[in-house]
Amino acid sequence: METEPERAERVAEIVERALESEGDERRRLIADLCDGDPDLQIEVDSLLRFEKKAQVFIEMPAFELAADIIADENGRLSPGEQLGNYKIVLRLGEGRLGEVYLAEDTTLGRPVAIKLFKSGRDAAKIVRRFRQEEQILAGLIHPNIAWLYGAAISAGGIPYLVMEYVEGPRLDHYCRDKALSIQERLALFRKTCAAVAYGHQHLVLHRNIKPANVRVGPDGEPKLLDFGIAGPLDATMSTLAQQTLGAMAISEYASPEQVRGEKVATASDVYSLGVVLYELLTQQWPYGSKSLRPGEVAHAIIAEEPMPPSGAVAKRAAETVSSFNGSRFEIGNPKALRGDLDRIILKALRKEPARRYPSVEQLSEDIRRHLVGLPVVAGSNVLAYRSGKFVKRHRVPVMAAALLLLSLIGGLIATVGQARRADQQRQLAEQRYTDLRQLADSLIFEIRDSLKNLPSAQRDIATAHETTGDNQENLSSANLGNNEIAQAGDQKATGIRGLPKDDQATTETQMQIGRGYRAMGDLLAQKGDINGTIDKYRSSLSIFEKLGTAHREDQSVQDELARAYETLGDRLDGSEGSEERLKIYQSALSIRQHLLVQRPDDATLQRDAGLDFLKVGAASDAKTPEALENVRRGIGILAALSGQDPNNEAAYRELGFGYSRLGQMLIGGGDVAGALESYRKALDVWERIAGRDPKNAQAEFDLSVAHRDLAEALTANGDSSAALDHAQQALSTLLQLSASDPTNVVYRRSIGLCYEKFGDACALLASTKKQSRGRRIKDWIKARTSYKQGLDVFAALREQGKLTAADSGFAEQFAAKIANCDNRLKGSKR
Amino acid sequence: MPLVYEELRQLAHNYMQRERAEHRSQTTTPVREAYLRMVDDKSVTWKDRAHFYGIAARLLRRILVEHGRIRHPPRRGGLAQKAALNGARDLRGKNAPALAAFNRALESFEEIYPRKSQVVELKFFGGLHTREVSEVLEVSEETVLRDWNFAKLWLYRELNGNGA
Repeated sequence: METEPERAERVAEIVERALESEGDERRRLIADLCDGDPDLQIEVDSLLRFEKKAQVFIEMPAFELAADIIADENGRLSPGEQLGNYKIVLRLGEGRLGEVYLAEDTTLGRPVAIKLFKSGRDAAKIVRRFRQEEQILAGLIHPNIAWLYGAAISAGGIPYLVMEYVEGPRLDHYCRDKALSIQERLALFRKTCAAVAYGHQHLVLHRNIKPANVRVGPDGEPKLLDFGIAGPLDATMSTLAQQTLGAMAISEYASPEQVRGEKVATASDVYSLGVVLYELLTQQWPYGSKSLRPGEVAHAIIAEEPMPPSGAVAKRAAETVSSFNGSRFEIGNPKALRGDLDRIILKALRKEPARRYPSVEQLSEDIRRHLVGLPVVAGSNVLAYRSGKFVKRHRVPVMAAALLLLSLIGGLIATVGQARRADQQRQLAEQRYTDLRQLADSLIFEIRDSLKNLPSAQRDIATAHETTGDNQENLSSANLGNNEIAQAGDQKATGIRGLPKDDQATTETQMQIGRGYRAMGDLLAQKGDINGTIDKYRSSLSIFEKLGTAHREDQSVQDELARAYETLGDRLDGSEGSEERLKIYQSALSIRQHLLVQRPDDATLQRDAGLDFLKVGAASDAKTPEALENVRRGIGILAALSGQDPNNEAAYRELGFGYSRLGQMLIGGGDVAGALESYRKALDVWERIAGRDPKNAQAEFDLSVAHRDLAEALTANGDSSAALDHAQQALSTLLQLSASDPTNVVYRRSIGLCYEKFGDACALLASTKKQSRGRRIKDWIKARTSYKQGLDVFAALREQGKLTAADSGFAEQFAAKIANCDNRLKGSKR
Repeated sequence: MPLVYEELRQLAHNYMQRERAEHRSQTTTPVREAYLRMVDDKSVTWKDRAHFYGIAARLLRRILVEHGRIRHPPRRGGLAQKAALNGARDLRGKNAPALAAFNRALESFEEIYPRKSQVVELKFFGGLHTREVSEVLEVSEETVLRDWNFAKLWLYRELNGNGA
C-alpha cells in the first residue's frame, strides 16, 4: 500500500511529465502512468485542467504586485494638500474607485468627500462620461441621498469626484450599536428605500447598494452614498477591466443579474435592498456564512435559495444556545420575522427580477403595510392578481404612462440643467412640465406610486435648477489654473448656452422628449381624444424632424423619424387630412427605403417599408395607376416576408390588410374581377390567422370584414347566392363579437355595413328575372328588412354621438335603399 | 527587521512614484533591481547569498501577508482573491486579502510538497529568477521549473476550487 506522501509524489511526477507532452501523446502517457487507477487519473486531470489559466498566475513577484499596497499606506494626498478648491483634511478610506478623503471646500467653507480615482488612465473618458451624467446626478437632491457635487481632474491628471460629506456610522453598525428594535430598523430602511426610489424616478440606478454605502448622520437620518456612480464608471471601462474589476467587486449585495453581467434595471436595486434588509434583521447573509471559498459568493447569489430570515435567526439561536440574551433581544427572535417579514424579504430576493417587487416603492409600501398591520402584497395572490389584472386591462395606458413619465422626467431634468441661463429654453421646459402634469393628473388615480411624488419632483427640479448652476460655477473655478480644463469648461459653458447639435447627450435628451410626446399621444388616443393625439404626434414629429436633419446618417434617429411620420399619418383621418397624410406616408417611405439600402436584411424594416407602400397607395387617389402600383409593391414585399418566415405573424397580418385594401381600390375603380381575386386572398389570410388562434377577437373581426368585402364584390359580380353566404357568415361572427363587447362601436358599425351587404345581395337576387314573382317579393322584403336593421344601427350610433363625419352619409344611403325596396314592392304588387 | 521593513517600504514608495510618473513598461523591474542592490549593499552578517535570499523571501512573505492583514482584516475572500491572482498585476490595495488567501494555500501545499513550496516562496515572494532559485536550493534549473509549473497548477486549483 502506497503512503500519502508517496502518492502525492506520484501525482506530481505524472503531472510534470504530462506537461512536457501534448494531445494524444499526453493522454496515452497519463493512462499509462496511472495504470488503471481511476482516482489517480481524476486527481491528475483536475490539476491539468488549469494549465492555461495558471500560465501567468503568480509569475510576477509578490513584491511588485504588492508594492503599491505598501506605498499606499502613506496615501497619495496628505493632510493640508490642495486639490483644486479643496484642502485635504484626512484620508477616510478606500473604495472601488480609489482613495476617499475628507476635504474642505475652501470657497464655501464646507466639508466635502473626495473620491480620487486610482490612476490617470482613462481620466478624460471618465470625466467626460461623468460630465454627461452630471446634470442628472447633481439633480438627485434628496434628504437621504449624499449629493454628488461634480467631477474634475487634478493638476496631475487624476480624476476625482466631489461629494457631500456624510459623517456617521454605516447603517448596519448604527443599528447594531444602538441595539435598535425591528420597527426602528424598518423605519431607517424605508428611508433608504425612499432615496433609491427617488433616484429611480430620475432614471438613475444605484447599482451598488450595501450597508457601507448607507451612513446614518448625527440627526439619525440615513444617507445613501455613491448614487449613480457605478453606472458611468462601468460604461467607461474596457471590457477586460470590467471583467477583472467586476469580478473583484462582486459584493454580497449584487443581484444575480449583476453577477452574470447582464443588463440591470430597477429590480436589481430592489434585490440589493433585500439583502441589506435581511442583514439588518438577521445579522447574517441570506446564503449563510460569509466566510466562503473563492467563487462561492457568485454561486450562492446565482443559484442558492436564501434561508427565510426567521429560519436563519432560529438556526443561529440554536447554535449559540448558551447566549441567553438571544431570546430577550428582539433581533434574535425568529417569531418577530415569521410571516410578513419573511415573505417581504424573500420576494425582494427572488432570483428572477420579474418576480421581485416591481419597484422600490412597492417594497417600502409593503413594509409600511406590515408596520400598520395591513395584509402585505408579498405572498398574497389576491393583490398580485388584482394589479396584474389591472395592468392587463390597461396595458397600453400603463406602459405609455410609465414610459412617458420616465422619459419626460429624465428629459426635463437634462433640459432644465442645460437651459439654466436661457429663459426661452426654460419656458419650453416648463411648458413640457405642464404638459406632463396635466396628463399625470388625469391618470393619477391609478398609475404607480411614482406619480404621487410628482409635486415633490417639481420642487426638487426647481431646486436643482438653481443649485446645479452654483455647482457648475464651483467646478469651473476649481479648474482655474489648468489651461486644458479651463478650455473644456469654456466649451461646456458654450454648450449650455448654445446646445450644440453634435452633443450626444443633447441628442439623447431630444430623442427622449420625442418619444415622450409620442407616448403621450398614444395615451390620448386610448382616451379617445383624437385632436390631442394628433397634437402630441405633431410635437413628436417636429422634434424628430429637427434631429433627422441634423443627423442624416444616424440610423436610430432616422428610424424614429419614419415612425413619427407614420404614427401621425395613421391618425390623420377624413378628407381634409388626406393630402397631408399622403405626403407624410411618402416621407416615411422614402426614409425607410434609404435605410433599407443600409440594412437590406432587416425584416422589421422591410415590413415597415412594405406597409408604407400600402399606406401611400391607399392614401393616394385610388384611380391613379401609381396608387395601385404602390399597394401591389407593398403586397409583394409582405408576401415575400411571410413566405420566408411563416411565423412572421405581423407581416402576414399586414399582407391581409394589403389584399383587402387592394380589393377596395380595385372595386372602386370598377375592376370587379381583380377585386374578387384580391378579397379571396385576404379571406385566405384571415382564415388562417383566425384558425391559429380561435380566441383572438381581433382575428375574428378581421375575418368578418374579409367575408363582408367578398360579399360586396360577389354582389357586384352578380353572384348573389355566394354573396348572401359570405354576408351571413360575416354577420353571425360580428353579432357574437358584439354580444360579448356590446359597447364596441367598431363592431356595431361593421354590423350595420353587413346588413347593407346582405340587403344588396337580396336585392340582386330579387332583381333576377328568372325567379318567380312571389320569390322576388320575398327577397325584396328580406332586403328591406336588412336595410332597415342597418339603418337602425347607424341611427343609434348617431344618437349616441358615436358616428364620425365620414359615416354621416350612411343613414341617408340606407333610407334611399329602403325607398327603392318599397318602390319595387309597390311595383310588383301592381 | 524594522530596518528592512522601512527599507522595503521606501523602495515600494519610490517604485510607485516612478510608475505613475513614467507609465512604466512591463519589462523593467525596478523593485527587483533595487532589492538585489540592497542585498549587495547590506552584505553584512549573512554567510552566503543563498541563505540571505531564503530568509529575505520568508521575511517578505510575512511582511506582505501581515501587511495585508492589518489593513484588510480577513473578510470572506470571495472572487477578489481569484481575480486578483489571476490577473496578477491587478493585485493592489483592496485585493490584499488575496495575498492572505494565497498564503494559506501555500501553507497547505507546504505540508505535502515541502521542496516545491520553497521554489514558490523564493520565486514569488523572494522575486528570484529560476537560475537563482536553483542555486539557492542546489537543484537543477529543470527541476525548479518542473516544481514551479506543478505548484502553479496545484495552488491555482486550491484557490479556485475544483468547480471553477
